[in-house]
Amino acid sequence: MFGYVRPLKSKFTGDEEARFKCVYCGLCYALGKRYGKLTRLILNYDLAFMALLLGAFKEDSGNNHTRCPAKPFKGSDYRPPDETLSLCADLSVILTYHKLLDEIEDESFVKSLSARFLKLWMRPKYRKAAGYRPDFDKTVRLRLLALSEIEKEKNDSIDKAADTFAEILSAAACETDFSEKNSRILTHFLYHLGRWIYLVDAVNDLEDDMKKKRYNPVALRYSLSGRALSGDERRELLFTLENSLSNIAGAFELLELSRDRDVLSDIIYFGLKAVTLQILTARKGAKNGRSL
Amino acid sequence: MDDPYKVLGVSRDATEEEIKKAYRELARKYHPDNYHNNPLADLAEEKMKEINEAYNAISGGGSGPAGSSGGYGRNQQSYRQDGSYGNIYSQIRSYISMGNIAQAEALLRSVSDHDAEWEFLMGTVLYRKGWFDEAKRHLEAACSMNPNNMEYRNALNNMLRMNETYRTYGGPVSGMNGCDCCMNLLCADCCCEMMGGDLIRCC
Repeated sequence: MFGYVRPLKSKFTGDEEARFKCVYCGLCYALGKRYGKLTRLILNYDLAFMALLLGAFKEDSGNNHTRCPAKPFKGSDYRPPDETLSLCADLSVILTYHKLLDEIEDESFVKSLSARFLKLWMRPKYRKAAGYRPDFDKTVRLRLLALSEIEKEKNDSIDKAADTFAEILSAAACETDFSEKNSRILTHFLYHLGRWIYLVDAVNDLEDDMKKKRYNPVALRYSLSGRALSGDERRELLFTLENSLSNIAGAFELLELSRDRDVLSDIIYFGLKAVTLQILTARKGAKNGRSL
Repeated sequence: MDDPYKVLGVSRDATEEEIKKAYRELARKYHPDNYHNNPLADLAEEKMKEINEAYNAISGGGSGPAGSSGGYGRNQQSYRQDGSYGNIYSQIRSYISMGNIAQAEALLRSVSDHDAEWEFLMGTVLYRKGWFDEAKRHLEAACSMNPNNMEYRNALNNMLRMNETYRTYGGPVSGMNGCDCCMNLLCADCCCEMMGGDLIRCC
């Protein structure tokens, strides 16, 4: 994925940061356990947030401590592998693999060489993950197919393009065992999180995509053909992104969580808002967080 | 009913002022305006009802800050029919109020003549789907085709107001509207200049 869902460090208390790190390290550990040590490199903030959110439905069951390549001496606390972390590890692998395929499609043969190697290396892991989550994988494949149709016809609807990724993320709600009510709220939450991620990524990649003459829904929507977004266009995009954020927040307030509401709340109300403003006001990309 | 103190998140020896404050905070969070045209509106309404009941139970059945025992609440929108496609439009409106958005959209797409009512209903359907960019354009079209229609105007205004709670939550980090937006751009420009770049060419 993309690594846009991240906390605003200044709003985190020490305790909140520690809990977020525990889940981040927990996902890293789960990836290593399930798919081999090197797979930890695909770890990113978006899926760590997802793990934090889905894990918040369950009661706390304590943390473990281990040394790892990132912290060889001090080591770090991590949440031990559970159903949620395994799910997020599977989703990471499936989404990363499809992202690689997309990169290979977009770039010339030489430029996509590294992606091609990664693809070869990821393939058995992807097969395994898709075996664990056949329904999710099917949704991803179908929605990405729909997206490539939208790209081919150069459709200028940002809503339609974002809908594909939004549907992919919301399909993750079907992989959980939450109550009908929570799962309904979660589906709506993830739809708008997916929509937001897709659109923020489109704005972030705008310059690059236009230079390389690649499909970009925002460029088509405003017929940019090479020029930068105007102030009015930025405001309009801000409005539509804030609408999704407001839906995310609305859904979040309705979820019946057992823990970590404060950490999640900080990310939703401050982290996502800060990233939105950063992307819309900055010229150059503001991508951060580890992702392929 | 759940423990009213727990619902409001206050202790049993909370003062009247604290209770009122907690109530207001929750009422702001779950206010129907935040869930306008949102598929989760029914759940928010349930929550609001719970909060109102808890407040009334604690404050001895007196009137809540909202002025009535019902507290904040919203009447379901009543969709009237309008225009020459009266019949099909009233059918679409009933699909929308039943929450059958796919059916409403399919029916709308079968209508070739796009008058103000069509634009309004299409805007409403897309809004419910979360396709906000297109929804706004359709609602704006409805308003400009029929500027005197209060229903269209209200729908657009509701949409424009919907982000306020999110935007103003927790204060400063946020706010990029009108003046704030300019300030943010100027700040970003200053930062860029310090680092050797430039965001706004003329300053």
